[in-house]
Amino acid sequence: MIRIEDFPNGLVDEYNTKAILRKYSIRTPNGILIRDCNIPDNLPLRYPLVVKAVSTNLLHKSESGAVILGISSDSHLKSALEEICKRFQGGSILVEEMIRGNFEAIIGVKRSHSFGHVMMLGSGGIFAEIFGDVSFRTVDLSKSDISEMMNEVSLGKFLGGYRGIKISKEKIVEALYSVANLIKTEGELIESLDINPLILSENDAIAVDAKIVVSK
Amino acid sequence: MFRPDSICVVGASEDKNKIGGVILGNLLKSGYPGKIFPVNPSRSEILGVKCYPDIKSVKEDIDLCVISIPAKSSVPVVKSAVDLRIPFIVLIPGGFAEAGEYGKMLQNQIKSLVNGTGTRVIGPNTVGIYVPGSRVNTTLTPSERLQFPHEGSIAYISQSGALGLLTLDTLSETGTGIHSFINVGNRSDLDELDLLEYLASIDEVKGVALYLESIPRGKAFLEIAKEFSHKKPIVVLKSGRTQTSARAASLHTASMATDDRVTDGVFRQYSIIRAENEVELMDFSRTLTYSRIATGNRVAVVTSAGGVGVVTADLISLPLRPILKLAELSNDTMAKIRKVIVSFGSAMNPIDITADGDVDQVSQILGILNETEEVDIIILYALPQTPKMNLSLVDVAARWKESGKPIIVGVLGSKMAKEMILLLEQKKVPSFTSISRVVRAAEALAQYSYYIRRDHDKN
Repeated sequence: MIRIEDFPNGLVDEYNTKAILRKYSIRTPNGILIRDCNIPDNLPLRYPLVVKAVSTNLLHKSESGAVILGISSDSHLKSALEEICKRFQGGSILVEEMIRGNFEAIIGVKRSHSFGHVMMLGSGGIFAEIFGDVSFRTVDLSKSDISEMMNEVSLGKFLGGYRGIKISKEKIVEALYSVANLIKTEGELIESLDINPLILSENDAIAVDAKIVVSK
Repeated sequence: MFRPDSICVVGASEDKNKIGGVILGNLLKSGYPGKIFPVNPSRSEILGVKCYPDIKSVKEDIDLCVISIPAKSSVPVVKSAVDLRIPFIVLIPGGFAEAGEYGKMLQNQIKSLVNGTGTRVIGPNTVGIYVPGSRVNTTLTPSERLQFPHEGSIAYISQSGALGLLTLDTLSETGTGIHSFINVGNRSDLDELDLLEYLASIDEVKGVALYLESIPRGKAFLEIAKEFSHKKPIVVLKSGRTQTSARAASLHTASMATDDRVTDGVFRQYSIIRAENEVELMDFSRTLTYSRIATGNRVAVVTSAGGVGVVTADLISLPLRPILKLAELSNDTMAKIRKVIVSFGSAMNPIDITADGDVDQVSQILGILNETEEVDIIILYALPQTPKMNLSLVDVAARWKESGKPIIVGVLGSKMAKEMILLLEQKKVPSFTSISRVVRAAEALAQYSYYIRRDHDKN
């Protein structure tokens, strides 16, 4: 169970959030957490890689320069790690395999005043917010609720394949059910949750970034 | 509360400028058959009815106690009503929780006075209740200023008093009846959900319309919707749509989870129909209460005015409004229609019988459309302005509405059109005075029918 005293700022960092997601069979990229800038010689990961500062204070990493993408060699990795170490002293660093996909989605949860926890499905990752391309339901999701959600956002138009872009409907359904299950099982303290982006491909849906905000 | 044998009016007066005067006047004028006990310590008789100094002096059973005196003095009356075990109070005055700390304190006193007793309270700060079937009218608007609707099968619960009363007045344009109107006011005791749960469970009510500004007991609301929304339609006008969620929360989901979007999604999930405004609230309630469930979303349009058909077809086909589809008629169906209409008419949907079309042609075409599998909903324009049309079209529409597919009627105009609308309403054929209202009503019907089919498959 999530304990509030483990996250005094109210934010469950990306590393811990992903660990919780994996408990509910939500796929996350292969990765390793590096503490105190102890840079290991050999990482059991495949290039290209991503280096991210892990903190309980940073909400939008890409806006604060705490992430370096597209690392393709040992020397590039070393310099990236050093740079992040310098910029975010004392924090941990997450090194992950970079995920490529065909489309990005966002899955989220918010505790609403009226209806308890509600779930959101959105298209386009960061663009979901700009276009308002999102759909909500309570966590008591049925199969028909999920297909309605998908059709209410533009994600639905890609389900049958669009100009060579293929995504897996089953994997999106699984991810939504898993998040609903997480909330029903240990959602008591969860104020909101973001999986953004959830990167979609023909046969996978991977939570590339994720965060949870907790409160009593 | 809905069928009281006796009503007392505390603060009754013969002065029409006082709320207590209006309420007593409304009760007397509506022909309420039960006993009426006016209560006012400075009168012995009001409008020919014996008046009592306080409710204790009535010494007869009182089923409903309407209190129309200032907030502060109403508190001891509520206490007496509880002592006398009066089951229901309608507490009219304002000056409670909506008016600051002192009012809040008074409202809390009311709350604790009735808590755990057999007495239940509507209000305070309510415009009252109106139940035409039992001729109970405790509202504070005089009947010479407002047309109160006759008895019908739609229950209307409103968190706003004024909007509620105005909507009732508008209903008389179509001659629509209602089962009851309740303004819940400050909800010190009974709230919209208590009433929804009761009204949705009784046979006389076939549909419920709600105007809501907030849904504090959201989960309870969804439970009630789950139980009833597939048995009778629940149509909601939810205001406060522009309010956004706290940006400070700063996760993407939290900032996008506006009240409006969440309400929208959750209503779909629980088969609640959402209206955009007060006109739609009643349009949808009438349509869903009167119509049978549609088998799908394919619409056939029948008109004697080409332009009306084309505008309707456009609205149905707009990509932003995917709820309805214009039905594609087969060659076989079109051949049958062609035999009925003049050569320059259109057998292709929207079906244009032209100004040459008459009532008999409409009847035959409705027959053809009811026979074919290609159509789920029929939109019929009954346009009495075209030369060969007349009021007997009402019977044709009503006959097909009773026996066949759902039919929604558009009657544009004001002269003979008004008469036609009133006649259609008497036969419970949903009819509307504009193309956009017709199409929106058809959308609501298709949506609700989809929910019914979906929930049926789920169970």
